[in-house]
Amino acid sequence: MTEDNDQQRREHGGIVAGFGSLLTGLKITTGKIFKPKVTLEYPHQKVEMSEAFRSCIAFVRFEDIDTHDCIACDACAIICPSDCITVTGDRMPDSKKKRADRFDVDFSTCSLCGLCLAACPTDTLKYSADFDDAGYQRGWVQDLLEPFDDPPIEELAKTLTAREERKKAERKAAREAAKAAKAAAKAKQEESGNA
Amino acid sequence: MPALIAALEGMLGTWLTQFLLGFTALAALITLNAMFMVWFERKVSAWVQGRLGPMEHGPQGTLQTLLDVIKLLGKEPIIPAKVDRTTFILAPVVAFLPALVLLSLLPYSEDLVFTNAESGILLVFAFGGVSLMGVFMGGWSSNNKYALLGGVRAVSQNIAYELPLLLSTMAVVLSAGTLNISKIVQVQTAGGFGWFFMYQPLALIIYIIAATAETNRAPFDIPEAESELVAGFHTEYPAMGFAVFFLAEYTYMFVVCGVGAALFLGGNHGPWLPGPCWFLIKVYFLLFLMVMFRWTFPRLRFDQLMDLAWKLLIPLSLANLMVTALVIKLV
Repeated sequence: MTEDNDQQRREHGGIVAGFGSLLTGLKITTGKIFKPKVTLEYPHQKVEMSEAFRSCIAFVRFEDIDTHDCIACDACAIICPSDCITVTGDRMPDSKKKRADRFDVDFSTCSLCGLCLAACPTDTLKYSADFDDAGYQRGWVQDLLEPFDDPPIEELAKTLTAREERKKAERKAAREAAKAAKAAAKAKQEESGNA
Repeated sequence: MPALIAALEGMLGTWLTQFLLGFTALAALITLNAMFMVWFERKVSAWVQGRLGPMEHGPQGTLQTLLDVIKLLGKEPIIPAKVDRTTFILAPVVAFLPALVLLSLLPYSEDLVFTNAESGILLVFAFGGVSLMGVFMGGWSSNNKYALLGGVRAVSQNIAYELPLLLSTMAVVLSAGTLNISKIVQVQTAGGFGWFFMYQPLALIIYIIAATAETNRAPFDIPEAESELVAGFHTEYPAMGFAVFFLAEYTYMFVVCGVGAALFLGGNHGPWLPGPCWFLIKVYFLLFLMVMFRWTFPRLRFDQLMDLAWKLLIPLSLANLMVTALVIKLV
């Protein structure tokens, strides 16, 4: 053991150099005292999560209708491997379209796999950035539609129909534009073929 | 206040009044110092590591230790079934009690000295040795192999480091020509002599290293090395037993730094501020150094620890003492 230590001492350059290295260490730690601190005082301050962060699911609020767009198609509930989603909804008045009124997720069994997002036909599901949600009992069920303060269903139906018509018109315009472009291209081809 | 003291003197006599006042002042100093040091240590460790430390209670978390004390007081004092009961209960008391004597020996200012003993330094080391007994009693009576190993390590370490500690202070004692701590301070303050660290820099370095080891502080904290011995000699102590050991540890830190400040840094000597302020500033500067050591240096292995004491510090301090004696004889 003693020989070991002597060897170590030679390798580390003796007592004087060793003492110097201790002072270097002290200089570094003393300098650290005056450097900015990295700790955030968590419950009072929170980290800004990146957009790529994938936490539990939430609903997108679409700007044009100022609410979610869940049509209660049940695709998410069917694809969910943990079977933790229960959607209820009904047809809207004077329409064949459905509209969800409850979207219960049991977060105690949700594995954050994100298959529901992939299955959603209206893209109204998203990952939230809430990293500090916590349940306090088994079967932590939360209604994700609760924060949405929807207008009366008749009014909402009108907004949705209006959007549907706008979209239809857009699609039609796009189709016609495509047709026109195709025709123009064909005409050009023929022109060049004739020439 | 003077009226109250006069009334007390009328009732109890001068000696008892002085004793009671001194005792109260020292008890307050012990508690306040320990509470401040626990907070300070947590803060400095956090700052060194880029953290914030306690922040919740009071500004910068200053009330944290007070609440910790209340928590410790509220805990159940469990005494394990197979311990040596009497020794187990006595150990923290034995470790702590000499601290009161030691504090009363420090020169807080020219007038404020609780016990102005002619052989002050000798008393400091004698009573400091008694506390080691408490540590070993705690380790032995716990009937726990980690605690026993911790106690044994504490004894061998303290015996090894008491020598360089004594030898380095003896160099100062030789230069000053007295064992009385107040008089050593007076020698330094007397016109243009200067503080002893200018004459004895090597002794100061040896003193600081040996003092850190004497108080079982990191990097010499092998008696309570967490990674090997759980918590060493106080493994089995819950609640207030544990708290009293810690109170003792922080008080001894204050004492060794107080002796260091008095012997090497001119004690209460300094411009503008009154004596006790300067004394406390110097003591807490040394304590800050010890805290920085803890959060900077890695722990020594046991053989490295013994190596450092017996093969480096003791020969160096002996040589220092001999050179000092020679110079004093010749000059």
